[in-house]
Amino acid sequence: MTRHKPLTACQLAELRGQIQLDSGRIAEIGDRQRKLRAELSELAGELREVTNRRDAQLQDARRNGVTAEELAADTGLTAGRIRQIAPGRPAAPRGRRPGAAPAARRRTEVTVTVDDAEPAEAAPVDVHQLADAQLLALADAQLLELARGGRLDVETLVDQATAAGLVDQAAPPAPAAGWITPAAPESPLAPPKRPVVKRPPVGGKARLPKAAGAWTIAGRVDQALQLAAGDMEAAGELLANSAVEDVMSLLDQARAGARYDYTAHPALPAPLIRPGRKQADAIWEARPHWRNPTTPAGTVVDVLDVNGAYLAALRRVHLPIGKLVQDDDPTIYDPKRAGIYLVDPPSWVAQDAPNPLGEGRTESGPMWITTPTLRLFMRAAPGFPLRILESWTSGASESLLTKFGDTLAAARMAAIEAGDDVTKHYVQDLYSRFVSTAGDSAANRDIRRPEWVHAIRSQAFANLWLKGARAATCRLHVHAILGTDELHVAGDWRSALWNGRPAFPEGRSLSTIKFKRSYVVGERGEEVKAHG
Amino acid sequence: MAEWGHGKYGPTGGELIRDAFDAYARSRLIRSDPNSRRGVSARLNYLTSHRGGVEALQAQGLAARPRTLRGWLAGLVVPRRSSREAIDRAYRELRIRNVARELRRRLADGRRITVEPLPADAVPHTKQTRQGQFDDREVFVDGGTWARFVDAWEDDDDRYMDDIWMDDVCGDLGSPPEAYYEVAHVGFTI
Repeated sequence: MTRHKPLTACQLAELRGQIQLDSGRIAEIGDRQRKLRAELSELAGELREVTNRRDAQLQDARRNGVTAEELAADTGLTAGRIRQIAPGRPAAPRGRRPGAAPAARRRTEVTVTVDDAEPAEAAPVDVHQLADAQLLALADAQLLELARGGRLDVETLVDQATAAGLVDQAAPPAPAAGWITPAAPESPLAPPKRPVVKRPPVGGKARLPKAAGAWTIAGRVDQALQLAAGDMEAAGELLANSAVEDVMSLLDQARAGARYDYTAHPALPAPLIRPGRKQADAIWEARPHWRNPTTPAGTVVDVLDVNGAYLAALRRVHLPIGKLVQDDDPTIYDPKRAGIYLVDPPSWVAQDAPNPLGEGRTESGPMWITTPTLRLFMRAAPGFPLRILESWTSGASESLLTKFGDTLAAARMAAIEAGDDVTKHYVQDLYSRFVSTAGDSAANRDIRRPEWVHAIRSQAFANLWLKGARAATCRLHVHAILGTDELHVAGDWRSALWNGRPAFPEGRSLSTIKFKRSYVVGERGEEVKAHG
Repeated sequence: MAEWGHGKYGPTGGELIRDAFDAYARSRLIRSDPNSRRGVSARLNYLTSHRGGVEALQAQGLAARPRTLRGWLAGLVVPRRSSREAIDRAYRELRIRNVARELRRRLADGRRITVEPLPADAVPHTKQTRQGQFDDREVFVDGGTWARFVDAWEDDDDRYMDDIWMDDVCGDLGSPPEAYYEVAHVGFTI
């Protein structure tokens, strides 16, 4: 409804008055709606009560001989409906499909045998005039009475029922006669409850039941092997599918005695919010991808692989604990706080060392980095003043995930030493799924902290850069730093010493490296052929 | 917080949850223009391939014959403006119903949500440490309450969402519950 003529002050005042009145009326209507809802539910309850009462009365009347037509005149229902509510005789069974099992109307025909042929004290009731539910109740009551009076022979009763084909052969055997005592429980022969089978969600993957209480990784693997009846691949799949739930439960356990409780779903600042479902946010993780252009052709280069890079990174990384808050004075770096920083990257001119701020960035201008990258830069180029333009930080802790990481690392080492592949892959799944889903991911509903994910990854890359720096200090020739965990060096790295100890000890633990392979560098720095 | 509930201090928890559900629904709804060929065929595709689609079209008064429908789907015939609007309305109705069902399924097990109360003086800080103050609280909202939130969202009933927030969630957050009626942030993963 558009008006093209501007309103006068008077008309405007009137319009605003009208708006106020209408808003008030909307609030009134909402209140009245709520009251009516409450009334409606009360009335529904009353309706149920009164209907049940009327139905019971109809049944009484029918039993005492009043015809359906007379009752129809009284109530205003049709005679057919009256017969439905209060059948005089049990309704004949509707046409059954051929071959179907007979309908379960077992209790109508059970006769109660009494030991010394004394009649029951209750008045004789014509069982054919009762509805099923009432019949059951009556049968229960009579049986209870007889049981209390000690005149019930349960075994004969069950034999009779079995002979009449009414008792399921697979049903549990009749209880011994001795269970009936003078102080018998209220409902003696209640049907056994069927165990509730919780079905897995349709289309969902098979996973282990939720870990409850204190659990260990070894215990969980045992559980999986049991459920998969020894099949290692199936057990591995079960474990992989429950990895995300398990790792969050493990994190909870590890943080049980902690001082600060981290915030699970904080409000995120704009640089951490993804612009679209498949697009990345604005944080730069500084992934290294560098080849040394000065390597002479023909050099033999060894590839060293770092073990469990993400696991080692998450054990010691500066993570923000609470919600990220924009700092008033971003230019000074506060080591007690961690988060994301908008920095103005300088151009990196050194040819023989990789850029600590990573390679391969196509845009120019300021970029958002996390605390580990900033600390690496400050360590790599101590004299260089890096300009921080903006920052979003929170109070930090370097050991937020230390206990969690230590548990996983211990389990990993034990599995490797024992040669247990299932546990090894399970532990790998645990920490890699944590690192990939702790950010903005629907697969992990218990935490949403993308800055943690970026920080852990950046820490892993920083650790790799520092290993390269250590190799350079030991006079080894660093040829390339690639991916998350590959360091390519030329020279005798096995006997290189760092502070009196071996610089690159070999092994499978997190503080050692693995030798993968060697190759020969070609004319333009690429790999020529596999060597030895 | 003497005047809670009037939006004076900020958004209420119910409003924020409604925004979260809206964002989820927006990511599921077709984004193309309902008057464009692509938009019409996408909507008709959804309506004809999901249960309740034809009924939704009929409920909007579109008694299109199968031949007409086929022409629309093949892109040979362009429906009238009123028909396009009816198709869009039918699509939105059916889609929101299905999205609500999906939300109920996802939230059936309950969620721990993070709540950040508004920094008014009446609300005490929870953790005060050297590293600063952390004001966030966590509370577990069970599946039944989520189902009621989704029902209220489906009916577009904002006041009822606020009521559920106030009655069921605020009580567990702290005392007095009125202090948590209006909050700065509610965080959870759907």
